[in-house]
Amino acid sequence: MRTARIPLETKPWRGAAAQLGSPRLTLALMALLAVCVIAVSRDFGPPAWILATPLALLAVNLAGALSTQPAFRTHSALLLFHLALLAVVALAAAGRLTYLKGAVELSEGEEFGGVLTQRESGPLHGDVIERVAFTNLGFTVYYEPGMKRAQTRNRVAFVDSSGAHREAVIGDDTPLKLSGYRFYTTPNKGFAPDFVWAPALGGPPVRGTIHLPSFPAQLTRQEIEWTPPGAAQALLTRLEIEERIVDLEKSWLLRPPREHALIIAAGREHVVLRPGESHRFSEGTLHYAGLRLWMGYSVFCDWTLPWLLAACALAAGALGWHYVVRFRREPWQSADPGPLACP
Amino acid sequence: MNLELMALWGAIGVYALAGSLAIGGVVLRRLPQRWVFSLIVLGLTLHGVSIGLRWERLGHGPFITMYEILSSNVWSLLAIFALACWRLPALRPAAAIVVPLLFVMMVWLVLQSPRAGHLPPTYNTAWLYIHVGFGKVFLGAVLIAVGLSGIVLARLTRHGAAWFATLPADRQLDELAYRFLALGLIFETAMLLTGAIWAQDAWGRYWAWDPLETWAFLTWLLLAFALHARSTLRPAPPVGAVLAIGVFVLAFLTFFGVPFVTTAPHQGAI
Ligand code: HEM
Repeated sequence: MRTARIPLETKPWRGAAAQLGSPRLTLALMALLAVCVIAVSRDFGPPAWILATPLALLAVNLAGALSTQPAFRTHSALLLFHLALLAVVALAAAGRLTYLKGAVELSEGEEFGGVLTQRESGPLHGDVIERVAFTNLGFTVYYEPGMKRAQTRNRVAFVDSSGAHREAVIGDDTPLKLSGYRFYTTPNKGFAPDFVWAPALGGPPVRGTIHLPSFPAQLTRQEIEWTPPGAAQALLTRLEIEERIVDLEKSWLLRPPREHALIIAAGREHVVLRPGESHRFSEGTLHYAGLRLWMGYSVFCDWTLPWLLAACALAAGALGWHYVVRFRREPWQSADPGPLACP
Repeated sequence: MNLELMALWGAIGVYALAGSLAIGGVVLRRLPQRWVFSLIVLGLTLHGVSIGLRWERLGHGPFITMYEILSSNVWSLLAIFALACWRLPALRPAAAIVVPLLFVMMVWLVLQSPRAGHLPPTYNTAWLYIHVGFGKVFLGAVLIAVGLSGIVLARLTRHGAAWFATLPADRQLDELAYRFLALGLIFETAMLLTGAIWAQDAWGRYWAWDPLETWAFLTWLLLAFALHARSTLRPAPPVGAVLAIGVFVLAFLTFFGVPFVTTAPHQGAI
């Protein structure tokens, strides 16, 4: 028995794919994407959700076009470019599902133990940050005249993937990279009084730092309220800087002031403490060991970064290749764009 | 006045002469192309001296203040135009549109203070040069498309048709403009890519939809839209010309408007 061959064009899926892959639909969806991008920039909602819809529709449109548009069969570089665009969208979506963004502040000498003070992450982020550790060994920040922040140099110690102890200098555009997490220094940094608190009711003394507001951004508001461990009463601690450490006319280096005092208010009681001095409050004795610096780090993790880079580079390269081949084939003088549809 | 400013004023004077000559030549239908071209090259040389002296004095390139950014863009746009004219002599009459268009930037430039700005620590990277370089080629390519589109639109009028009568047909100019838009898309894609690499290093995120990123992406999208519309709708040359000008206007506002009206982290010098 002979069976009649159905021409490709009449297969029902092909008709549907051709409609889905309509180039006019591409134009409409590009306009929709533009509207959604403007909505994102106006803070109308979480970027991921607003952008997901037009991007998903464009991806479906492209998938339809890939199987039906003759241009993709005849121009392989154009096909590669569009496939690379699809890969960029897919990777960006995967990145949104698995990324982590956070922040942490560490005093000089303090070790990061895997706990962030701020964090947001995609629902599928597989946390290994608990296993990441490094120590802030101290940093310098230069300022140029006019309070312009220049280089930040931060020494850090960490254990690398082979288990070896290492030191590095990070800062500005050089992050510390550990287990896929990138730790960046930020302009958020300041002074950290170092205290020892001995509770009046006994128990071991506790040593730690508190972080005064960011410096020099909050130059005139160097005070913070905090409560010692196990105590009920809060202590309002203000830093009085008694020498000139900021110079608007000249370059200067951020450092803790040598001449300074802490004014500590516990209810009505006001105490002045200098480095090495102690005071007995009703709930315990506070010893002031000295002033250090703290650094605020931002943390970022997204495994898609190198792949995104590769896909974007492939897209740019393929596009260049497509046009070189195409424009070489036909000189512009002989070009005839065909029948004109618009007036 | 110091040498740096003298060279800049000299360059602007020479550019003005080149532009006037180009317009006069088109109107009188006797194009002094060689003169226009030579004057542009002379202006570029003087302007290059001014930028070089400032670079040497401040220790950083023209990337920070509005004065520096406008100055370096006037230079790069004219340099790209001159290079394209050298390779494609058919482009030369477009000088009557391109050079006067750049007068807007020149007037804006002379109104700016030449004071030095602060070089942020994150600008100490090769990505700065790569990213800015791609951006300049992108804008230059789109500017050439605008010059050609301007001719197509001017020819819709009786006078324009007479002034530009000896040039290739509209469809061919439209095709050439389209090729420069395509070149623009390649370089804008590369600009966005290298910008994202730099942003990851400098700010710990590769893309955050800050105003400059948003408008740069919209420009990229409009360019892709224009190229798609061309193959899908096959518009007449004047419609294609309007699209090309639209891309340039959006790119211009993104480059020179957005960084100076927002306080987002992408602003010039933070
Ligand atoms: C926003 C993402 C996109 C960008 C940036 C983009 C870019 C481009 C570029 C630059 C060209 C070459 C145009 C020319 O010949 O000058 C092109 C062609 C084409 N694109 Fe896209 N495209 C995108 C999305 C899509 C989608 C979603 C489709 C699905 C229909 C599509 C279908 C096509 C087709 C069929 C061609 C060939 C047109 C022809 O030469 O006949 N593109 N695209």
